[in-house]
Amino acid sequence: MSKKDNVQSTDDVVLQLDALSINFGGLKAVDDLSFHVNRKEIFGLIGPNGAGKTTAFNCITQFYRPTSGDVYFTNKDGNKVNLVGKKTHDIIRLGLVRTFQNVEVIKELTLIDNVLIGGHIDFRATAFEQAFCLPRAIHEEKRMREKALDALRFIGIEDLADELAGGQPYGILKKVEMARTLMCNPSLIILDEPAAGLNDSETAELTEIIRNIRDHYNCTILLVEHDMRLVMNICDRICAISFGKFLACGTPVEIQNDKLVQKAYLGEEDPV
Amino acid sequence: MKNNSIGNPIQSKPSFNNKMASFIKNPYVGFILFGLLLSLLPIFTSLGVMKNSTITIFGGVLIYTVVAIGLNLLLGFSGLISLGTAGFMGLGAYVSGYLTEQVQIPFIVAILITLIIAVLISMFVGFVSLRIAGIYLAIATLCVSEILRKTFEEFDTFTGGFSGATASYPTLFGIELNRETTYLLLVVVLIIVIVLTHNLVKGQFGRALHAMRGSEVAAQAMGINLLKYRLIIFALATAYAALGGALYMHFVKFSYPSTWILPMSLNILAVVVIGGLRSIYGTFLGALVVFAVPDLILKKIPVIGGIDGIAYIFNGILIIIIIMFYPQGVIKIPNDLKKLWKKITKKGGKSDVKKG
Repeated sequence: MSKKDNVQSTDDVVLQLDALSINFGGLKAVDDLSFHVNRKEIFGLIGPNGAGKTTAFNCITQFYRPTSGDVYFTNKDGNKVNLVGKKTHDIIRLGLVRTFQNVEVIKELTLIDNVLIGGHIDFRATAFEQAFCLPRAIHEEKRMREKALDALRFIGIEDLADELAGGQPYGILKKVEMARTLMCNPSLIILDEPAAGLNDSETAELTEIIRNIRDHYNCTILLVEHDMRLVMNICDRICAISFGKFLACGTPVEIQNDKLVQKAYLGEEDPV
Repeated sequence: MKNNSIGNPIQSKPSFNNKMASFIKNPYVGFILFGLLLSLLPIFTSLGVMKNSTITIFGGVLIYTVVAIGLNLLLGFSGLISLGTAGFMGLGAYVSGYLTEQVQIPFIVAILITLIIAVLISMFVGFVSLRIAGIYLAIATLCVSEILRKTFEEFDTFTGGFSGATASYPTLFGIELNRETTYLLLVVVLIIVIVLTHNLVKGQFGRALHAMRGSEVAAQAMGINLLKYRLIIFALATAYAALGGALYMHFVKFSYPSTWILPMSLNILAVVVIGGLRSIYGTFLGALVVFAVPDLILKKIPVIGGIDGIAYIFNGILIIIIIMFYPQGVIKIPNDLKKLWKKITKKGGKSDVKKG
């Protein structure tokens, strides 16, 4: 399978999965999966329900430890790092940040505070400095608050900055999660089903936002999505998987015409 | 942490009122006013309005508030439970007592050394037990508490064994304090603790804790090291407990091993649950309910007051009621009353519209 997609890593490859596998008991959730994502690309990972898309994401971000295989990530300095074995909370420091399928936003905090959590790695002041309100803590808080407001403005919800996240509609929370990813100056953003639970107009808006993020923040985007219209519309390249196995990788048109993909989604020619 | 009980500003002078409103809304102003209010108590007792023993009871409430704020940080933000609060309080009491009485170290230095020792022990305990989430910290702290209690009993050269240790009121900058001034010192310490805690919770540290509680996966994805933050917050809770113990030693002036036992830890836990998670004023209210109400009110009721351990019965019933009807703690009661009042006044005016 990896033969199909073994473009050697050049400077343009941001993320490269190399024969990634993970087993849960006897179940191979991701099986020998390989693909690569180029710089400034919007890359989609698709597959029928239970194909292992989110599991693959979790393996990339080290929420799960892959059983075998490697994940190479080119950080901002151009160094290639193997993510496998890194601590989960260290991944973001390399410039790789993610959102979640079910928005993980803190209800008791305001939107801007939620976004500020995304800037966690840039806070240098210790707990001691924060408790005593020492100059560095105050400056840092002010600077980061500006940055968070910029991120909210970019997404288009700055007027809601001081509202509590609890009680906000789902579409807004999705945007908050997006804004949060922008706080760490990412080079790769991983979006787990960004359009899930959104209506058509919200999805259209989201498409715009994702493109803008890519262009404005100069980063690469990898997304898992069920909404085929969004995926075909926005992605430069797509990788399709089924039952954890690689099916095809290519442009949206290539994927649409791929026999294996059609079979995985629509089944074999057989009376239902 | 939020002070919602702000009166309506008068409508005539908007600029002045805005300033006034933002002045009242400023949490620090609230803390200072709160401190001033608490420091009025010695005046009342000297006027004879209240009994002298009230100062002792209220001083205790202040001490337990300091301790409970620590536990509230731990429980409210990370969901971890420490059952060793009493042990760490005892540690603070004995160490600070020993340092000031036997070694003759100045009060403030003794407190600092006490805090450092407590933090070191908590780091060790935390590092062993916090790697696994869940109930393990509760078990580990329970063990440590028992070990400490046994230590207090056995190391009688340091602790006086079963007969306990004594200390005198603190001496600050050459001035020997008495009961009233020590009470004022307690108020000052409490307000400092409240302000520091408030700053901490409002800053990135607090946001990180919020993130951990709200969603561990999101916190990790944002680069928050769960173990590190759990360790820090446990160390903080322990430091607050040790500080409370040290203050107890110098306010009550004696310490027995039998004070620092599991029921004390559970009482502090009750303070947090009754008062309200993540609420500073709620913690004070909780401490008031748990530690002052039994002595001030319950014991004066004719028949019920004579029952042995009435305080425990009272607390137990109260916890059940709170958890069933007010899981957010008594701090939410004024808020809800306000809402209820609004509902009643609104209903009166709009009932016809609704029916029509």
